[in-house]
Amino acid sequence: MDHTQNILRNAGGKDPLLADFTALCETTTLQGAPKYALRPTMETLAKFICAQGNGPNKDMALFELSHLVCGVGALHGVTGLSDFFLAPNKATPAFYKQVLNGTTPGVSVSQSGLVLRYDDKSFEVRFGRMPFLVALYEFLCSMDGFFYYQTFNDLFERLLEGPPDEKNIRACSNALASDLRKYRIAYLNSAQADGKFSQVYKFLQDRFDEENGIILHDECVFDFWHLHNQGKDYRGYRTVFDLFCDFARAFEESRLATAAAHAAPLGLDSEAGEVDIASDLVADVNLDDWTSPFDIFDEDESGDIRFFKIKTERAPIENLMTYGPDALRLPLAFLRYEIFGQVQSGITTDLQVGRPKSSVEKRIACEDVQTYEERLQECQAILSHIKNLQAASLHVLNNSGGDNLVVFPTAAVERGAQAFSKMKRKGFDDQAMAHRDVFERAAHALVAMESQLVRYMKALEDKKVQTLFPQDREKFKSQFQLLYQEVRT
Amino acid sequence: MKRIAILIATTGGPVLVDRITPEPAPQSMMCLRRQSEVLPISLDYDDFVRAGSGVIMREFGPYEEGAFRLDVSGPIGTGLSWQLGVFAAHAVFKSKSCELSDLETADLIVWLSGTVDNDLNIGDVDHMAQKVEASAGMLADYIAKGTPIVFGAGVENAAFLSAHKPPGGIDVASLKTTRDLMDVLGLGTKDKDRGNTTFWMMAGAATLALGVVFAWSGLFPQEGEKPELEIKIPEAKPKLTIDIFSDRGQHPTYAFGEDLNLQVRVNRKAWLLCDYEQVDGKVIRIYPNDQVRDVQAFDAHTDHILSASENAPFRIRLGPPAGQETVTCYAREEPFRGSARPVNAAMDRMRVTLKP
Amino acid sequence: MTHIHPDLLEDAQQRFGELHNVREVMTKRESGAISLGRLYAYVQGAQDDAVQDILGRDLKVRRVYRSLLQKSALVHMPQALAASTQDYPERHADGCHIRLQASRAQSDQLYLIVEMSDQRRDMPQSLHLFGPDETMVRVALPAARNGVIQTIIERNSDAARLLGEPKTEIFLR
Repeated sequence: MDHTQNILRNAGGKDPLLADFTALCETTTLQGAPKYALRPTMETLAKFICAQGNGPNKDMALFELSHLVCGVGALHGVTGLSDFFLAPNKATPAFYKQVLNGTTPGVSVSQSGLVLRYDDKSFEVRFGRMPFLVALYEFLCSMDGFFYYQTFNDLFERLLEGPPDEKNIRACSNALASDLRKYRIAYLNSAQADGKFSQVYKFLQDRFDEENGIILHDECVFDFWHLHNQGKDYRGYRTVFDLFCDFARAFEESRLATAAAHAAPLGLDSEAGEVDIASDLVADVNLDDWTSPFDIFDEDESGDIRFFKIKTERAPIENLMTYGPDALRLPLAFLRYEIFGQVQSGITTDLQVGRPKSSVEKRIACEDVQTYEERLQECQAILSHIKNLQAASLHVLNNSGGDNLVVFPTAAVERGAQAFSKMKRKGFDDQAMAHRDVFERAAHALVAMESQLVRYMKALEDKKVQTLFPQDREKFKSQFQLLYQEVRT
Repeated sequence: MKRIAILIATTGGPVLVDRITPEPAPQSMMCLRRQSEVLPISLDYDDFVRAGSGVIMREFGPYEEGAFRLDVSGPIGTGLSWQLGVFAAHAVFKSKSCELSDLETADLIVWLSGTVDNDLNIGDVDHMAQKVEASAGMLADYIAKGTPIVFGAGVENAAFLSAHKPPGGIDVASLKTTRDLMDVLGLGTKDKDRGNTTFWMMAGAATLALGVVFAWSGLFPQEGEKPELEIKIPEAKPKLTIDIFSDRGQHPTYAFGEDLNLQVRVNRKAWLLCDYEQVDGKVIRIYPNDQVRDVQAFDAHTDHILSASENAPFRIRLGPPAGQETVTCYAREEPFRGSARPVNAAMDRMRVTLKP
Repeated sequence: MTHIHPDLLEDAQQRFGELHNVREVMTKRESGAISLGRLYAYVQGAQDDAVQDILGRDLKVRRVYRSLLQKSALVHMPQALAASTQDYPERHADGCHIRLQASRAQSDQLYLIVEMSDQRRDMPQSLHLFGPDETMVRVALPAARNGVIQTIIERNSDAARLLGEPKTEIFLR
């Protein structure tokens, strides 16, 4: 397959990778809802396509996908394969759990996923992983205007010619990886990112301190924005925060990666940088990454239980939960992102929709902005709610039986019962005990949320952010006045 | 050959059965406006036609071709109320004495809504009021034109129609079985003896013989009794027109000193008002005028001489200045009030050339 | 607060590029492509103007479409081997008979008649025609009655043209 032709064909200014990704975002269910959740499914896919992740082998998912294709094909045949991967149903673990059934030699369905057995080995593709793998399948078959469809189709069909076989699965995943690599080379452009990286690095280098070396801290974000916000690339404070967020994360990951022992890549064609992605040595690479705990509450099964009120209990901490460790790395910069970034978004929207000048001016003056103290109080209130939810969930787990015995101290049992009875909202009633699995997943998410919120609040309190608010307001007001002075004249 | 327009009543307006064609196809189809668009009720139509499940082939067959294509003028939604109209259309199609017609050239318009069961009983259907309302605009023109119109429906539906003041020009036929329908169409046994009776008479006589055509006045609600629903069909009268002319034609020429000959004709009884506009722009009200003591409405379809040398209520002698002058006459069904030039009235103009 | 170690620069730059690309992909949108799932839904009968449009102008998409059809079609009639003397050759396969019949009422229209001999099987809802020149037409079919599906097509339509061509490959789905 000559990829050069493709590159030439697509040299019309459009970004094929973005178009392919957009196409997948636009795939819908029969009811017209997006088939794939933006988070975590599409985000995981984006990270995979852009080869972002830990470990020397970034294409492990292709090995999983090959297993999934092999298993589904063995259970449901070629026609069933298309239905499984392309059915216009919302891609959720529950859906795949529902449609996968039966047993064939070497393939069975367990409580947690699809299990393939070959050569005394066993490989499980978890239901939780399936929405992403299905999206990956569809992306691979659709990418570059279906350029690879036939090739991949043939690869998958060869997988189905016999019972699961490690050699075939490895061959399939390596072939997929090889073509995906070509696609990445053709369409993943690093030039722009390299330019931004250098720009930030130089900015930090200029602030080199003999004692501490180069340090990226909260004030760097504001200072960089202050310096560059007259240009079109960095007009938005939030854009600059994201830039520094990625920069800090890149160094953090790099540091951790260097510290950890690395397995040497096993190349099929090591000169070309290819690796055997099914190698046992890389199979244990930690694939976990931060995902918003709210994702758990977005699953279909959680829909009947109102853990959070959208406006008052979820929206205020949505970004904090999405950014996860990134927010904690630059807590004050993130607080500014939330408070003043929101003000700037409001200004932009006002200007786009042509709202009255008075509205814009009010925003520029940072009037009616939530203070840092108010923000902390809000976080504290939500933290209390999360703790109550934890207690109420534990009450459900304690009273709904289930396979796993849960033992709580008496005080916790009493507190759980109390919290549950006070939780006057949808789903916290007699029916709750029938949704043990939902509360079990929720309990895990609630613990993660508590931890994130506590760490964030502590970081802010350590910095005494309450005292910083008046000067921050003046700093942002002054920058907004400069940026949007044409509105004011 | 008598021409009958069959209208299938729907809530979206009446739908004309345009054409029936036997086709050598497995299924009968109902199509929209002779296009390839097949109506969703087509399969139900096929059932209605097919021997065994339906009545058309049984009652009117056999046909060499296995199926029919029935073209209609508009969409027909779900339900089965089209069956009565379709049955009537097939009856007309089968008949040697009549044929399906468009509305313009029809001798009789038959508006139908009802179901036909396997024993040929006619069933009542819903939404009659909406169907009548949706038909009002179209039918008004044909009432005015004088085309006989029969509304045919099941017994309850027909009673409902009769109870709600149908306007003149529409008869309601209460149909218990398709035999009653055949009589309305002039295809029943009773009518076969009637020889060359006109269609309107046939329809009327047949329904009277069955005792199901209601005398409108006798079935109107009693005084003080309010009908549940007022079915309003616009009063359809021919538009009032007025023509003015002279014994010298539409554009007469007169010499100074001659008398103006002004004649007028209206198509309905009407009150008149005429102005004379001189070359210099001066407007003189020439009718009514002081000479006319008894101003009355003018009868329709009669040439009335308004002004002439003889046999006219008054005489207008023409004089200088020379040039093009204009007579404008207005007609209205109510007397004119005041002297202002009327706005909403029928009008005609006659140009008069004046020479020395 | 993060310490920036210059010795990690190269590795960090690569990681930054990946993070940057992910952020771009997640936040920006570009039109012009369709996904396999959307094409599959169209194969299964969904109405989609964008897919219809791209099928009309992109041969590669048509080939993928055909491949999807081949996997899920109820009936497949490959190209006929022998030429036909009829204007509209009748086609037979797998308990299915497809023919065209001229309309008496409208000479510019044809009845498309699909007869399925086994009425217990799933009845097709669409007819897909692939001409030898790789043109493609989809005709939505009405419900079957007694194993017969009948609709009307225009005599000068692409569907009629392709049905008149023995080398047209036919799928019923």
